[in-house]
Order: sequence, then C-alpha cells, then structure tokens
Amino acid sequence: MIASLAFIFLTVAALVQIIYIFRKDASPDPFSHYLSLAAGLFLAVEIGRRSIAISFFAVTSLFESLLLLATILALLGFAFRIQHRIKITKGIVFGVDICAMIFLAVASSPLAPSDILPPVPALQSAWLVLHVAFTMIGEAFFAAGLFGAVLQLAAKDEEKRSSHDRFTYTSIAVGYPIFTAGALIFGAIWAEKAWGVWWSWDPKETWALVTWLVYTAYLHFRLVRKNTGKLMPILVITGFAFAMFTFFGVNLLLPGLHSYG
Amino acid sequence: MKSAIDRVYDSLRSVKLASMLLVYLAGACLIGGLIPQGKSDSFYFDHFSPFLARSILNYGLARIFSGILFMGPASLFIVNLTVCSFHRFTGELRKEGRKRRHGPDILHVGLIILAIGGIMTSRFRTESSIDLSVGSNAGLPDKSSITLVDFTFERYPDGRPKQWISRITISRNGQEAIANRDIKVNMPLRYRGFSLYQSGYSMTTEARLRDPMGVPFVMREGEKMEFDGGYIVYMTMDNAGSGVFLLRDNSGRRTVSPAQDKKIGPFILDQYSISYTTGLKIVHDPGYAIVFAGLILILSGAFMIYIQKLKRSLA
Repeated sequence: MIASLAFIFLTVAALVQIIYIFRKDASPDPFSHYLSLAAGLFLAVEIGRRSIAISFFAVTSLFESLLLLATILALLGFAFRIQHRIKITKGIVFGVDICAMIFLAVASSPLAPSDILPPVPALQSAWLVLHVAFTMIGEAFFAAGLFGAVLQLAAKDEEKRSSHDRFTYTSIAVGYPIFTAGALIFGAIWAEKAWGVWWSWDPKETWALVTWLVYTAYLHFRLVRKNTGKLMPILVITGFAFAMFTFFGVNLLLPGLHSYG
Repeated sequence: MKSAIDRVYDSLRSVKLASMLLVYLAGACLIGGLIPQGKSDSFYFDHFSPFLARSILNYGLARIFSGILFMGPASLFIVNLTVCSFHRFTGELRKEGRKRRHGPDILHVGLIILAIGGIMTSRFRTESSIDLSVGSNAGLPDKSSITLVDFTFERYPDGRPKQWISRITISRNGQEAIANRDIKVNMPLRYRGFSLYQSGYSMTTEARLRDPMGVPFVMREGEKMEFDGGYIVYMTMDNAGSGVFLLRDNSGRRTVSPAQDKKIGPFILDQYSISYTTGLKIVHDPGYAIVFAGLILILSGAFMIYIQKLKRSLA
C-alpha cells in the first residue's frame, strides 16, 4: 500500500516532467521534486516498517533491495533539484524518476516476492547490511550518471555535451567510492565472516568486479583523454548495463551463493 | 632524449596502460562470469557445441582466473599500479602541504597490499572440515582438541532456520583453552591463527526401545537388531515424526511405524529422539591480516579522495 502510494507520486511527478520537457523553457518544473521527496519518504517508511517486523534492517531479499534502490533514487531526484552547484536538466530529472518507477515496478512483479521474512543465518550480519546499502546507494548515483551519459551522447551542441558530462562525472565520482565500499569491500568481509573465503569468483562477485573495473576505467580514461568524444558516455552506459546484469541477470540466469537476491 | 630506462619507467607508470589493462581485465572477468569455471571437461561438451567446448578448454577459458590470460595482465597491472603510485606519491611530496592529495596514493597502496594478501591467501590458505555430534571431540591442526558441548538449531515460527549454534570447548595440553564458546554463522571463532566457521549440520534420528527383559537400548538409522525368528531395522523418521522400521518375523517382511509404548517384534518402543551433528570448517589463512589491511586502506583512500574533492568544490 505504502509502496503503491509512492509509485503514484512518482507517476504524477513523471507526467509533470514530461509536460515540461516539451516546453521551450530549459528549466525543470517547479514542484515535481517535492513529489519525488514524498515518494522517497513513503518508501523509507515502508522499509522501516518491514525492518521492525523482522527485527533486522530489511535488505535481505530482491524486493527489499529494489525498494531501497527506488527510495534512494527518489530522494536523489529531490536532492539534485535543490542543489545549485551542478546544472540539472529536465531530461536528467525525468530519467532519475523513471528509473525509480521502473525499479518499483520490477519490485511489484513475480520476480521479487514481497513476503516479509526474517533473515536466514547467512544473512544475519551487519556487514551484509552495509554491503547491500552502500551498493544500492552507489548504483543510484550510477543510474543518475547513466542519464547524463545518454543525454551527452544525444546532445547536439558542445555546451550541452559539456554540461551533461559534468553531471555524469560528478554522479560517477560520488557513486564510485560508495559502490567500491559496498559491492567489493563490505561484500568481501561479509563473505569471509560467513563462509571463510574473501572471494570465490562466484558469478555475482565476478560481475560486480566487471562493473567496478568498467567504472574504474572510466575514471582513469578521463585523466588522459578529452571528454568530448563518445568513449566516456559509452563506458558509463556499459558500466550501468553490467551493474544491472549483476543485480538481475545473475540472480535469474546464473546460480551461485547470491541466489537469494 | 630519454634513456631506455626512463622510457620503460614512463610506460610502466602510464595511466593509459592502466586504463587499457582495466578494460582487458573487465573483459576477462566478463568471460569468466559467463562461462562456468572449474568444471570437468565433459561438462563443457555436454553444455556447449563441440567447437565452443574445445575452444573453452584449449584457450584456458574454463579456468581463466588462474590462467595466463588473466594472471599475466593482472600482474602487469600490479606492476603499473606500483610504479604509478611511487611516481605520484613522490610528485605529491614536492607540493605544498595544503595542496597535496594522498587519497589516490592510499587507495592504490591498498590495492597493492590486497594483491599481496590475495597471493598469500591463494598459495597458503588451508581448509578442512570436521563433523561433531554432541559430546564427541576431534583434533585441530595445532594438536588441540575440540569438543562439541551442545548444538542448537533455532527456527522461526514458520519453520525456517533462524540460527545454528555450536557450543564448543577447546583443550590444549590437557588444559581448557576455550570454554563454552558459541560458533554461529557470521560469527566464527578465531583461535591460534585458525578460524572456525559454522558451515553445516546434519540430523539423525534415534529410536529408544526396551527388550523383553526391560533393558533399554538405542537404535540409530540403518541399525539392525535381531531376535528369535527375525529382526528389526530402524530406517528413518517420517515427516509426521514417526519412526519407520523394517520388521521381519514369521509373518514375513514389512515396514511398520510403531507409536510410543507399542510393540515391534518382541521389543517395546519408548520414544524417538533427534540428534544433530554439526559441521565446522577450519581455515588457516596467513594472508588474512594483509587482505583486511588492504581492504581498509582502499576504503580509506576512496573516501579521502571524495572528501578532498568535496572540500575543493565547496571552497
């Protein structure tokens, strides 16, 4: 119910944003970010409710991970709009909200059962909570960077390309250390505590490493190349595609220790 | 004109080289993530076309992470990282104190230390398993003795597992070194360079019976007890919690599920009970501390980069 309310808020926000996209005025609309904030707060309440029900931070299933990701994206949509350091275009605002909606839609599908279940022994770990939470926060920034990269590729003039590049780089630069901490470091520590091995080349671990390597390559290529070409945004889009395959594709297509989501 | 040594040094510390190696390693990991690793040869022929299976095996793609296609470039990456880190660090030291940024240096050194720890772990890590039932003991690699004092299987109301707890005692040279310590999943016991993990359990059921003289005895699953004219074998416990016996007597051979205080052959069933055997994994990893230190340095460096960028953007 609460998640459905959040979805409605995001839908209304997206509809408003679509209207403004077709307006000649370059500025985003003046209020859809408050709807995103409301959606994010509703989702946070839902996560809190589930956490209280199981006496553990509710990030132990695919449904809960998607809920967390949508929460962070909705709140990011608000945060991007109220800050003034980086120019935020209508396309980016819309993209971040649509992303949150997509993740919520997947969460409501049969792929992600929404049963409120307390964690099995392997998931009862603070490191697991840090691993999932930081990974989701990092990936939310990568999602924002994705839209910046897409708009950068689609831009017809240098000024717009440069503006979108600055947004993309900022998103990736913020998300990268958080994702590094979550996906690799806290994940490895949790694996050692639970199973006695830091790294086992499990498909999920391997694909998380692929994702990290692509974003690391992006950040290093930026040191040696001009940012006007297509390589940088293509790397960002590729990195996000791999992040999504790590999240969904591995669970659904490749078995391993991470099968529970 | 730069000397040959200078040119080699510049090549080895090149960010371009690092970027290309990162892309290559991502590609290698992608292959390793798509092709199941470490399976038998017949697995690949069963699951792929003959041409693909032969290619996977001939080019080392079935064990890519331990093969030259991965280890070679990964080693070159570590060399590149080391030379680049040295060059960068010495360059930063020449700057005025407030302008120095050591976040990337700490992160890079963390990666190097992680690589060293990883090599030590992969070369020298040992792992063994022991199964213990309550009251039994086993030897540890350092000649200590571990005894399972108790095993608890906690369940949620819906029957799902909540926790497996092995309460153990460790003795060394006849003296108690560790008394009544719990080992749970995600809470291993660290002891004299070893780590003991709760890795599994098994369950067996027992049937407690009395013979015609009233003498009690216990039958475990698969055990046989003979009597004049036949025998009984205790097979297992069914889902309803009743034991299943194979009874052979003058009437023939059949399966029976006697309730408490009922006869089976000449014996009387007292009760059934469940006994657990815990599975503990014992790991000795000389690289543990180094890997952990590397991870902490990477974490610290990554956040230091971020905080320094934030400070500059807010200034």
